[in-house]
Amino acid sequence: MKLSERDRDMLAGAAGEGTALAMRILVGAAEALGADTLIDIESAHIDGCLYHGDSGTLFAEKLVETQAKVRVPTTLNVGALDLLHGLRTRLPADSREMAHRMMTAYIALGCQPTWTCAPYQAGHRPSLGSDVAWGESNAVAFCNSVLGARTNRYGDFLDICSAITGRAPRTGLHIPENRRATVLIDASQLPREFLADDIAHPILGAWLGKTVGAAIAAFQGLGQPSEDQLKALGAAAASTGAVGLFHVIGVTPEAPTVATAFGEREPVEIIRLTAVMLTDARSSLSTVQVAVNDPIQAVAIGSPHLSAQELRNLAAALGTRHCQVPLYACTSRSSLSAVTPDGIAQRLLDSGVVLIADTCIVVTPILPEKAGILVTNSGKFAHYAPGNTGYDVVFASLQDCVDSAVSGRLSLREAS
Amino acid sequence: MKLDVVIPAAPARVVTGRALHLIEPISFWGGVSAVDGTLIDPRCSQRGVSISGRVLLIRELKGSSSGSSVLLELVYRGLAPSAIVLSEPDAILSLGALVAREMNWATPGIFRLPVALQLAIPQDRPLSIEPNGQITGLVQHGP
Repeated sequence: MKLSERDRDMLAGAAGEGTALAMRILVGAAEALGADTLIDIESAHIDGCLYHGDSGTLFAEKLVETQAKVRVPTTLNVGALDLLHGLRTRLPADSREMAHRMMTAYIALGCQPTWTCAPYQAGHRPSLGSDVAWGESNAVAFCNSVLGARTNRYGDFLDICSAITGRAPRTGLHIPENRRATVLIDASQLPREFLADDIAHPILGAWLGKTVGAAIAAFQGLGQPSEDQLKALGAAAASTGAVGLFHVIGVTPEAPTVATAFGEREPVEIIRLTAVMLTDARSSLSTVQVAVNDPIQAVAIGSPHLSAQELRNLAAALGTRHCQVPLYACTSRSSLSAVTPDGIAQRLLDSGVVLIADTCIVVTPILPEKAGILVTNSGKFAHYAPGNTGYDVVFASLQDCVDSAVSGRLSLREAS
Repeated sequence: MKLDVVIPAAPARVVTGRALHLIEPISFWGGVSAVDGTLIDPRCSQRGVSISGRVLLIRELKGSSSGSSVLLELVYRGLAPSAIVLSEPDAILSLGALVAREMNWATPGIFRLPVALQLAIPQDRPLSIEPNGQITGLVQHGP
């Protein structure tokens, strides 16, 4: 592998032992990926700050002890604690302590305490064509697809090592040639009323991840999805498959036309998508059959974290009603402070919504221990909640989620 | 059969363990328990199987980039697979191993072998992998 003089200096310890340690890991990872060289990055988003056990804390503290500091603007993904709301977690005291030490260590490294999986809705929006090093699979998909900034799916630890060195392996989606679509997905036959429904994009994403894996797809005929819909699509796709980039013709920045998205080449594959083809993806988002009006135990939304607009949508869907079962709304401190002045945050609290910031219900034990049935409109929660929380999930629209929380019983519009 | 060495086991040693093919694509985060090393995704047909001490043959990785942390934690707790064989370049699990090595913890070797060749290794067969990636005969069963 070809290293620059500065890279070699960093490896030799010229910028301190912490930077040298980060560079050793970075070079090892670059070799594992088959990269030929390193490139400069403009920003980083760190997923490694989530407590998965003491090992991650010990590593972060080792970086602090060796006086490492990030060299580029760096945001932080969720931690295991809700620092705004008395931690919220059922983690045992010793784990809570280690999770807190970990979050403290990442701040000591110079990262911004954003604590969100949607940094792109908390002011971190790298420019089209810039190279960045982001972790968190949904953030990676959004960064590449919607912002057109270039990142691979940086695993925990590579993200912080890139931030400390300001460098990343030149491979994968950093290389323009690798960003062109190969699979054309013609969505023009999908019913427009389906696409207008808020369940459409998580379902499309779940289908996409399962169908194309790591291949790069371009949707045609998807209409004009909103940023939050693209976020939902990418998050679901990055849960069911290794999707790091997708294009939407006429919507996302690298796909103004089919020809541009495909780099002036013919698609390797064309999929004409029909509603029937989405049936399996849709049913895979629920793990249990629950009859309408049967009791449910919890509702959770906000994976990725709710934007300010999504918090407003939640308040509108609730109206003046009160939740009978807990409705967990996971969001960032940034979105929360955006809707605090207009009273939305207070209205949600008054309705009995459990607002969760800085973390979420699948990364740390927040849901009551006695598992039951969880209703969600998030493709990502639907995918990860069963394994991580023990709850069975039912996938439903936002309105059905809210109505279910209000009545304590499953509400499904189409079944009624 | 010889595997490509992605990250050598640390400290350098011959690694041994029974082969465990993961049939479905796996995300370590949400797919493997960092507490006991078993497969936990209810959609996974091998749910409940422990990956600890196994030579793990992975056809396809998917999902979360937190997989590195889960592998690091498994190493720290002494519950890691003895070796991980991937089919394609991927930094997520390699990173867990690289960090474990920097922390001076006993680290599994990360290797690479195309899926077609992975399939030639019988499920549960005891394997022994040299530091250079050579599988020293597919170790025979019995006396």
